Amino acid sequence: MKNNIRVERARQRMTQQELAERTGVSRQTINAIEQGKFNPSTVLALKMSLVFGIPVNEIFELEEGD
Amino acid sequence: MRKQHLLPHAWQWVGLAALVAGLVLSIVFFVPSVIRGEYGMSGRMGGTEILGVLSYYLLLPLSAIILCFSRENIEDERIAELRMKSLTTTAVIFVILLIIAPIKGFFIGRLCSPTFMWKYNLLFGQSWWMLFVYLLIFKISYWVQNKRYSDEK
Repeated sequence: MKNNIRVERARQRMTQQELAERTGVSRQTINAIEQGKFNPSTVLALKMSLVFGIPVNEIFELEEGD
Repeated sequence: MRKQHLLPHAWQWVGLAALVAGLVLSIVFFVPSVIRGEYGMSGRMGGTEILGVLSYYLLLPLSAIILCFSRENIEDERIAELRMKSLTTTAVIFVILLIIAPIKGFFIGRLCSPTFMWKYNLLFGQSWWMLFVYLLIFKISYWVQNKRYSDEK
């Protein structure tokens, strides 16, 4: 699964730490998600969508083979 | 998010203190008497022997339970997944050990004396050692993952 978290963060001038605090996870978890090493739950994905103010499918998208 | 039934993070210090105390008391009062083959031989248990038994069979498992079931600093879904993976690995190790136990017993029984087997079982034949295996796997993976994902890119 691909994600645009890094791009969205940069657009909103937000650090990983700020995003982590606003979604209630650790900074390492945000980093792992950005690197595509960890797939977030629906709840966390929805929280990120709320923080960024954009729909979930604009943050996460399926890749071929998913 | 799913509710996790874990002890507060501060309990890790309680668990750690219990682990250190359990290890020290076991090494001082329990392990030597087992190695010398004196454990349980006198018929009546003295104060230090009771202390040794309690520290080995009660304090150590209790410390493992506390350490296994207390929260990390930030207990999120990545950590929950890590806990699940560590638990699965531990279960696989446990099943493998259960399967090979009769084979191991058969061969080691022929190679070693019954006294050695008795001592070995007293010290390592306890199922709660698996809690420490889980703890070791979990803590190492936790440390490795946190180190790997600590640099902000």
